[in-house]
Amino acid sequence: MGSLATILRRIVVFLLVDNWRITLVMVAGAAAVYLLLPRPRAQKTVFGAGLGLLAVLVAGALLVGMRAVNAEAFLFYAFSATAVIAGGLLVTQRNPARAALSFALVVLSTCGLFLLLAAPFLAAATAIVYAGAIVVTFLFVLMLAQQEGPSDADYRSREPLLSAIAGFILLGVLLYVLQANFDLRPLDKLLSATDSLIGQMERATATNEKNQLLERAVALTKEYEKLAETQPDLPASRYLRDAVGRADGIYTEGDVARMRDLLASMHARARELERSVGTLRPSEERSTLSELSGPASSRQSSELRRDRTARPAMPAENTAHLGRSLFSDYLLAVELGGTLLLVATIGAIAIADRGPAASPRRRLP
Amino acid sequence: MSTLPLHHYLVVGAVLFALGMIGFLARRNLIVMFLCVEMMLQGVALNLVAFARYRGNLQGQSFVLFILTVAACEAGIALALVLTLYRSRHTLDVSAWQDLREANLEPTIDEEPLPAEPEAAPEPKLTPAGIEPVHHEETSHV
Repeated sequence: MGSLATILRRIVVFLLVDNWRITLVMVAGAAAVYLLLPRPRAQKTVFGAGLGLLAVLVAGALLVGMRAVNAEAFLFYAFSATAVIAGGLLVTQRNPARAALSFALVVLSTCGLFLLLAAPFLAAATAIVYAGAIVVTFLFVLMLAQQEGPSDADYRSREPLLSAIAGFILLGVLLYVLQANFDLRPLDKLLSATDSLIGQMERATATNEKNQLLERAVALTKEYEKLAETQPDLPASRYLRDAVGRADGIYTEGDVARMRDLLASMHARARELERSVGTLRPSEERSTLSELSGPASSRQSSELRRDRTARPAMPAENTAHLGRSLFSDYLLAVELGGTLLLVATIGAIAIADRGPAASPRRRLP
Repeated sequence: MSTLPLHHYLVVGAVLFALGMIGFLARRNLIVMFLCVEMMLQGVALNLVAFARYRGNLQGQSFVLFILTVAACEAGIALALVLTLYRSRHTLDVSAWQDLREANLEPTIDEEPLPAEPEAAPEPKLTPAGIEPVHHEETSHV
């Protein structure tokens, strides 16, 4: 039973101490959705809306990791806040026509995010197919099938508490994993420790103090090596790994000034590493796809051409490259997609056909 | 010059996916359930496009095009099905189909009554506007 208690304590510490912000977002969001889901009696929408707004704001504050807010960040926050709020409205709205319109808003703001991600063709296609065709078809069906006044379908929810909890547990797990992988705080701590050590080295005079500082510097280079293992194939990581051997050499010589220079250059390289957190790493296997849609997935990330923000550069002609990729690498998939559309059209007509049993004469009263 | 890290987009995609899942589980209107599924697809598409951007190629975007195709097929079929279901039970409520459940499960019964429908405003009645004038056969021809 002792091990069970320690496991429980570790879970509680993980949820409420280490990651209390994410837990707060999850609890507030789940409570908001639970309060706002439709039910027959009069609802206290103010509480739910307030909690939902709190969750969105705290989640946004969690994401703000930018040193300076630029146009891209501003547009990202605007579009994603619109998408998330409209998504909440879609889930909690009683009137299905309004739900369809908030779905259109979700789609349009996702299209804005697509534009930020250098996908103009997809933004246009999604706006036309989803916000144009699909939403309008839904509205037609609603007009055909909608009843007057309150109905069971719109004024009741199935298990609102359980579904809110399930959804937010899923979201919480995803966010914990993302935070574990994209957290920059260990790197920041290491960088500030290096800064302070360099400052102390400049001031140090006594021999035994110098030796102590050199020992600490070697320990720091070990930390940097551990960090470099997380992104092994960047040039900066290779430099950091080599630097460990050099630091050992300098330590045996006892040269403080050279150690200081080495630490400073490692500091600069680690900053590069920080900028490339979140860029993807390729698999070792050879890709069977061509390079028509940009560098193949087997290319190492050190081979990628990068812009000045350390993100890989995208092909300039989005639509042309997409088309070439579709009609070379994905030709079979395109053909299958076309066949699927044809089959779906035939199937929809076959299903929606009334058949002889519902001829107009029999439908009349 | 700083840039947005990848996980910003992944978080938005995850939120859209989770909200769509909640909607699909909790709502009872067939059409709203379907819209929620489409929103989950949007979350996935956002993830794929973000991965493509941070890898520097277009393969993720090609995947999203196929998602669009499949979503369009799905919308057509599902709306045809919804219409058929509506014709046989005259409601969009999924719980109208709960007799398809397994034999050992209890049916869910709605206990709370629905709110009363608000009284419709009475339709305006026109007051008679005097005596109807006599129509002359001759004047009706031009």
